[in-house]
Amino acid sequence: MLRSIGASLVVIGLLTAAVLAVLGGRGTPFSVSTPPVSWSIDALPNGSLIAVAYTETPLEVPVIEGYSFKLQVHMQPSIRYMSFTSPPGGGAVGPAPARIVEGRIYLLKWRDALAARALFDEGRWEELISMAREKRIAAAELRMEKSRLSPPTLAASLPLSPGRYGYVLLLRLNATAKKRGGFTAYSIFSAGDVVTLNAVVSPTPGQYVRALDVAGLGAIILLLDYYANREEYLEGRLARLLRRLQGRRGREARR
Amino acid sequence: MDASRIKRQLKRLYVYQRYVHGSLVGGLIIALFVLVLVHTAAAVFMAPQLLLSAQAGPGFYIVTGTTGLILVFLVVFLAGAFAGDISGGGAQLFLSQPLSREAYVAAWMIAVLATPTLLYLLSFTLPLLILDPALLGAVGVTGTGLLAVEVVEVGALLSLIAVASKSRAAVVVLGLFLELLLPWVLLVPFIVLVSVPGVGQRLTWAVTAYLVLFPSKYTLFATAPTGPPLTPTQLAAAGLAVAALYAALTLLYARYRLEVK
Repeated sequence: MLRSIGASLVVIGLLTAAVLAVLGGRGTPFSVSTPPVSWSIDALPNGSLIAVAYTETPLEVPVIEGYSFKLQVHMQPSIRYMSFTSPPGGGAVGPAPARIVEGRIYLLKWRDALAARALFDEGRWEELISMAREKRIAAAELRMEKSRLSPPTLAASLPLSPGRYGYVLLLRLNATAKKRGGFTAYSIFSAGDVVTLNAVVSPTPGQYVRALDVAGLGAIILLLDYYANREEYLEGRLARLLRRLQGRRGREARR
Repeated sequence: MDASRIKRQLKRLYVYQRYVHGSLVGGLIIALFVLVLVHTAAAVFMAPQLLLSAQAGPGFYIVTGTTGLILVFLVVFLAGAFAGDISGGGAQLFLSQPLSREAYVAAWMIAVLATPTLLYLLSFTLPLLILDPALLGAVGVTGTGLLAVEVVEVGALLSLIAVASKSRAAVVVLGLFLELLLPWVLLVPFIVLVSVPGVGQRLTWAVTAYLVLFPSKYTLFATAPTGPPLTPTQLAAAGLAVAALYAALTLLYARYRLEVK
């Protein structure tokens, strides 16, 4: 049993270190979760359209050794929206395409994000924008990213330290509101999950040391077992040697 | 029995269990390779979710529930190897002298029950501890611990069946039936009867017995309106007591009734 435990500890230690080196050796990024997002689109008093997104639940960033986190935005440069005009002469118009002319993401503390959400629910867009600018912990502008493999996207990235956050994503569109009497409301036709929380794993020396500690402990157990039962190991080796010799002789005899 | 005789028996048990483990260590290490790879990769990718209060919990249990099948197969096939050793002449060789029947059976029970379960628990806990000790606290050991208790229970019962039947095929078939089919078949009456008015409350004893025999199914009853009848600690204690009973019966059977030809 001691031999099994020793060998197992060596296997566990070395294999864990190897998995860490392979999965995290180059800082492997992967998506952790996509917090639920609410979208709205509306016209500012000057008639230009804006699209706003905010987190419904707090974005929690945990403390884990060797992990760093990023808030990642990836979206198509054009957005499709619908406009609904209340009677008289109402109805749905769209989906109409609009290009994003400007996009920014504002990272807020969760309590500020809750206040932003109240402004969002009431449609007080200008106050929301100024509040996001004022209370932001960090902000990033969406920039065009070109890739040979996929169509160009607007992207932004915000590094996150542990804590609870919310964010506001603000897009200014090139379309203008066309009021045709009555009240006009807009809704995003397709936006998808554009904001994700990404983790980047970069193993620390401490993790490798712990893995090698486990392997070392197993090696010590194996060594102790070897010195306590040297004859057994020797017998095993002799038996293997004998089997190999017998096999060779058997093959020679058959020839 | 005097102290020197007990010491002699323990020494023989030690020597023989080294032989048994020596013949099984290759298979155990191969299984361990798979377990460590899966547990470590899962821990690396799921670590953030595990530490987030809202998302902690079931994710990692799906992984350990799946790798638990490897442990189940390992224990079933090791118990089959035990039966094969009794029927195949290995027992006759070693029992001729100087090994007692109890020492022979006890050595195999250590190899069938203790070693695979211990290796499984190490393959689960050590990668989490290496990655970040806080992860083990976030995952908890309830699900995996109860699975280990269940496998020990079934393994002890299979040892008894191995000693009594001396048939490798019977042990493997019964083992797979006990672990993969019976728990789910027994759930059917609960699902049917729980909706019958007045019967639900009377099922407590049946549920308790079911959970003591299959502790890893605890989570299925965790969301029941009345909750599970026992806490995980009570279940583990009861399960280990049942396993000890099976083990004692196996040793008694080996001492008084085991015949090797």
